[in-house]
Amino acid sequence: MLHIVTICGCGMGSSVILKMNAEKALKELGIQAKLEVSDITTGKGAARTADLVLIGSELAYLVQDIDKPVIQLISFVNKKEIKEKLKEYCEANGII
Amino acid sequence: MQKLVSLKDIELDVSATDWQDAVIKSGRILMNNGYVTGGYVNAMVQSVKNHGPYIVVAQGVAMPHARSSDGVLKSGISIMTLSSPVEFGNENNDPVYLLIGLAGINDELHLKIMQAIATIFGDDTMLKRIISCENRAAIAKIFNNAEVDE
Repeated sequence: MLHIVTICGCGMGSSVILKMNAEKALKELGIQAKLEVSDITTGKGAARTADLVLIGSELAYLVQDIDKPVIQLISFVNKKEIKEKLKEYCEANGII
Repeated sequence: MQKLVSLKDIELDVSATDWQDAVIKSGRILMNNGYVTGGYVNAMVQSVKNHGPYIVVAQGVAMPHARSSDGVLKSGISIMTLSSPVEFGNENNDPVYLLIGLAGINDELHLKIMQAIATIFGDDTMLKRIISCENRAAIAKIFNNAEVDE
């Protein structure tokens, strides 16, 4: 199962929305995944055990040194953007 | 059903000189309604200074917040529209004309609020409806009726 961590500054706001929208998009794509919310202090650690990181483009510099695929989102709330980028990732990695 | 937003959480046509002023004003609504301490309001500003303008989560919409441990007393939000938009320095989503101040602790109400926000701001037509609302009751209704899609 795909393990995804969503990261924002505090782990209470944007990452929660990101997680909800990503869950919905993955369900529509028929992909089983486990999603977890994290903030920037714990995010790096959480990313180590995850397959994929979702983060806003404004914060992406924080995870540039981790050795995991990162999807950057321009909007946390745009379901279309999240779905398209997740689909692209899954197709490129043979998940769908 | 528990109401997510009431009239006291909403202020329309607020004037703000810059992003910092706007964040403080949205934080003060949270403070005046007993959701957060004064220290939390400062932390909301500090968060933008530390992490940059990522809180501008969608075009024209900022969601200023800090950590629960910075002084959240109970979960709640403030909704504030600006009479003239301000720049946060977010190249994709500036300028900002709507601020959703967040106070969240890890409880069911916070999750419900976030679900409503995700539903509303994932939908361009709903966002336009909020911006064109001329009274607080109409905005409260949108938030409280936001259908949580499965």
